[in-house]
Amino acid sequence: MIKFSHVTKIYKNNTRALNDVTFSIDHGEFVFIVGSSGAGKSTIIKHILREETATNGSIFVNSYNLNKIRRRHIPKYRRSLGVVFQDFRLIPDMNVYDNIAFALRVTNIKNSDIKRRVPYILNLVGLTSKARCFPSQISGGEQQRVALARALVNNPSIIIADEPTGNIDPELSFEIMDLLKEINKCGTTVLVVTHEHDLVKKIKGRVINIENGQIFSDSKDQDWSKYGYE
Amino acid sequence: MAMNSIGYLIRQGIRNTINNGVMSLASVGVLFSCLLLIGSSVLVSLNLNNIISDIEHQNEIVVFLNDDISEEQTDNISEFLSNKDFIDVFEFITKDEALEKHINITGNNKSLFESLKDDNPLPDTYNIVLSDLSEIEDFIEELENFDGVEKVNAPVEVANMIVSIKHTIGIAGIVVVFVLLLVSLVIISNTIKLTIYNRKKEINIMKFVGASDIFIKLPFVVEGIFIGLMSAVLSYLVLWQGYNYLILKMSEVDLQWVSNIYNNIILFKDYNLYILAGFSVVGLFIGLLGSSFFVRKYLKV
Repeated sequence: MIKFSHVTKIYKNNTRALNDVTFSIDHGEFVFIVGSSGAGKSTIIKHILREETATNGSIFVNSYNLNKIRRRHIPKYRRSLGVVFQDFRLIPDMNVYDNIAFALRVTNIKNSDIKRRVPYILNLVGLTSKARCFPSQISGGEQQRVALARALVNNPSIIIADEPTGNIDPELSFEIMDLLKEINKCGTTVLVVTHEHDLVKKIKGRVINIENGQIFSDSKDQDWSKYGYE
Repeated sequence: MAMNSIGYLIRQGIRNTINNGVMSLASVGVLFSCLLLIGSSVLVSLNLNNIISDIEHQNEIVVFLNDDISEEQTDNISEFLSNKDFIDVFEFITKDEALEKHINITGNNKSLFESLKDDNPLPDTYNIVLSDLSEIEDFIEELENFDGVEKVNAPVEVANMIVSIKHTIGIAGIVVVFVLLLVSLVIISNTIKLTIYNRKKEINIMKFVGASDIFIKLPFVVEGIFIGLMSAVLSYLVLWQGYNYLILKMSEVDLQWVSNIYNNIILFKDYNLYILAGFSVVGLFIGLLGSSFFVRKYLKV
């Protein structure tokens, strides 16, 4: 599903953001990537999104070799992922409904399918009544649920959430995490980047700890108790 | 790309133009001003050319022939003249016709010329009017080499001056239009760049939900076309009304030089299709090129 093999990333200014990173995530896993800021968490996400390419090593996601993928195949590849960002990244002049529908439109899907699918997803995240609101008219937690709905609407095989709770209240954070857990139960792989240990403790999942661009620990190989689990 | 997507993207482009009202208005304003300036300078240079052409047509070359010229030699000259395409009109005037003319125009001194009828001192002549003065010197030289030609009288200096004025106006016109086009391109590309920069985030979001480049670009291109065409139509209408208003005002002025210009002024309706087509092409070209070129920069994510 996601496979990093000896990935090193050196930026033009000689910063070594990732150093020989190797891990793999299987289908249906719920994985946290944790670490202090600047550790390389976001760099990993950028590589999975094919925003960056590895200097050395190889990355495979959903059977795409990201080092060799052709530019024109990138959009199709990205549609197989659902992404949620800390700053929500909703299009400000589109209402909630259109923001979600947009992710479907880029796939050239039929209008009738859009009309069926968007209300279903809105219902799932509990925002049916806000469909005609613009992002500026709803709360942070609601915006994040819209972003989540947009990430889900294409039935992606992987959901990637980059600090999804960074900009919202703690209570709402758990709500979002519960939603992610529900999604994971239906078989979708979920990858959450966070620095909030409370969240990690509450939800059982695999924890990959990144420090200084290297994998410091991976709970898959270690004792769960270290992370506060019984 | 599916048809329902194209419909959606075109609607999206038009919606964006309206949503980004201030920026769209700024782009239309800039393009409109540039087109208006370009159109005005084209009209000014067309008019100057027309006035110069009018002066050009007032030239006359007179070829004096020898008294003993043979019919064959006259035919040779006639044939030579008929084959020159820069000659507007030429006329062979016999010595008798010339004398008759003089008698008619001299009025009081008629008897003086009438006495010459038996021994007419005037030569046969060719009177030639050129439509293009640029080759006048070579032409005169060729004429002088013909057998039977005694002398050629021509306003060579005036002709050369007119040719060089025309030349200067032509070049100046092209330079002015070119500079204006360049300036417009720079200003417009900055405006478009700013518009697109404002929506950099939006483009970035589109990329991450898996929109293809063309899917992102098309609404911007539609927006560019829309703005380009709107500016073209607007500047055309203003130029048309403004020019006709100016002509109307000129007809009311009672000054010799103004009415001289007025008599030679070109009519907007003779050029309206070219101007509209030119504006549309420039508007479309700048709108289309500007939008698709600058979006590309933000697509590299």
